[in-house]
Amino acid sequence: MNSSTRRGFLKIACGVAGLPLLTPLVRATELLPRTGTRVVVVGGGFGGAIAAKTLRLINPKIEVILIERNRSYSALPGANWTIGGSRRIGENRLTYDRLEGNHGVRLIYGEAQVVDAAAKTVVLEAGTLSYDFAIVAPGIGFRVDEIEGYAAAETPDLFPHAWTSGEEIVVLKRRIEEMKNGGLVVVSLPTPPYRCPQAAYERVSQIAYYLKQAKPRSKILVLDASKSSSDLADLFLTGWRRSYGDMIEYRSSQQVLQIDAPRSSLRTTSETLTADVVNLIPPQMAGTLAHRSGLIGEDNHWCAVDHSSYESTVAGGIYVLGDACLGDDQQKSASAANAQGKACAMHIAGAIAQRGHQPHFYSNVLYSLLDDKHGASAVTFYRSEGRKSVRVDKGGGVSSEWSELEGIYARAWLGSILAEMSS
Amino acid sequence: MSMLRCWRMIGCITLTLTVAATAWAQRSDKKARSIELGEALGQSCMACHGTRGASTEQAIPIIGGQNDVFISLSMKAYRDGTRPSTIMERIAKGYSTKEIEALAAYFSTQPFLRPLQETDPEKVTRGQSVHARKCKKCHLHNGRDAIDTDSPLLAGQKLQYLRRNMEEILTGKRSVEIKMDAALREITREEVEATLHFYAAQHGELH
Repeated sequence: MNSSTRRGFLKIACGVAGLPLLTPLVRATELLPRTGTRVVVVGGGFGGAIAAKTLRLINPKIEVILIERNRSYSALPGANWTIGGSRRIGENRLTYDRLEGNHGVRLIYGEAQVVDAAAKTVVLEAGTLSYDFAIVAPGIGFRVDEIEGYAAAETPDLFPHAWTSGEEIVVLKRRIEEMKNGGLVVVSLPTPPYRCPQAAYERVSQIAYYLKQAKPRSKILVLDASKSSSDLADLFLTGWRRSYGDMIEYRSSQQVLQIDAPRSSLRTTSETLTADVVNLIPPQMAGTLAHRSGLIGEDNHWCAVDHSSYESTVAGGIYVLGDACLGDDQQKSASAANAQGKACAMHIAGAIAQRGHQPHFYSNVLYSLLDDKHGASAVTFYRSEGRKSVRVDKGGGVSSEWSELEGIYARAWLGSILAEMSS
Repeated sequence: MSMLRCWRMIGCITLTLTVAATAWAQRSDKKARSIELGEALGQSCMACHGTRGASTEQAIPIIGGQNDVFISLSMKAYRDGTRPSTIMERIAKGYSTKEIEALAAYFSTQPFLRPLQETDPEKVTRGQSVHARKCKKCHLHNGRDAIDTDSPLLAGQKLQYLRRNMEEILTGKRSVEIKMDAALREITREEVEATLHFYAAQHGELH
């Protein structure tokens, strides 16, 4: 899936102003006749779908086209809960028909190959779409070349990451269910920044909750590449100790350097070990489309944007949302992508109406479940300051404890944000 | 002379009207700016509270179309820790008083959507009579209106949310004004529950 995001390819694809590989496709035909000022949104995840809807809510005269590769989207938040057994993965599935029916967003199901900033067109296999504004929400890709022995095609099946789509959790869940009582599960968390660290800690919690009931002699070893501790990590560590005793061993500053997936072994900065199940979440970067479209900033991994509008600082007229952005000290999460999608939509609607817009001020809300009942949340406020996104000191913070009430809210948050982006 | 007085009077009236109109225009302009700020700030709220505040979740209240002053008071009470909460205290602390009032101004101008909720018909009937005896003087039109904007609209509010709030009030974790407190002293727990079913059962635009 992410084999095309390998370094070698990137150098070719991004080196010469974007798209030498895809030039023949640019001459293809326009897929839809234009009906007005057009915004093309690529990617129907938490950022893209809500941006498309918000644009139509603000100004129904704007023609909004959403390009999405899947007719049915499987969300990641809450997917962890299926390991613990308190959710079915089917509940994470959503479709886009109500965005069309209720809001007049036009859906095109297909793979966008490239967004051409110079020609102001999005190139698909079937043809092209011209635009006035393009919003790209390309998600993440993996820097698999940083782990020796990682085969992009085979490894995700042997050492599942379950980090790009909710459905992928099924493979990981099955491997844990097939494991013997007394087995070892290794969960490897990559070097930051990466998609939703809180969800990684929640993953560990849900695996522990399952093992405690079904295979109580088993162990979980968490290899966290991060060095520093945080309020959030402390909340999890406290919860783990209280609910799962010594089942979970947590080690910080542990980077996976090499793997032998068929033998189920891995080498870290400090040791070589074998495990029964390995949940290897590789280091990350912006998704393929961002690389192909030349949206990557100086760090070579993430999209560089002006945080007052989310417009790319590399390719003008293209706005980038969600986990693909390098967000100063911004977290990568569904909630942040949702907030960025709305802020970006308001900015673009303002630009179309030739009026100013409010500076962004928004919250990033993260909910997790420790088991089947107890939840906790973390709130962070951000505001735009010039072209930067700045974390606000006032307000926000992490729950002081795990509670049943926040467990209820965790489920309500998920229900609400999924409904909001799809209806 | 009478002609002169007449002109003077017309002048006075015109001036008064102009001043009043200007003041009114400034007020409505200020209000419009507040709503505009509230719309931008309120986007974050909608991930939990639904599009334009029309919550889709039983645990989370509808805030779209809720009374302006009631929203402000609630946010300030969360911020000051005088209303019990989990996440809302941490969220409310992020906003200034002006921003809270902007959020309230925006959400109060949105429609209060009342989709059908699951309720117990027997409790609804019983609740209707409790409402008629104890509640309707303040919670007007079956809870679709209120005597003042610092009181909440209750019709169509989410049942689970209403229930948790009443629990907080009945156990003394959240204080309410004297009239409400007095009314609650005169009805049983079962009557409270039935009344919540009555309010939750209100749906659609008219009743």
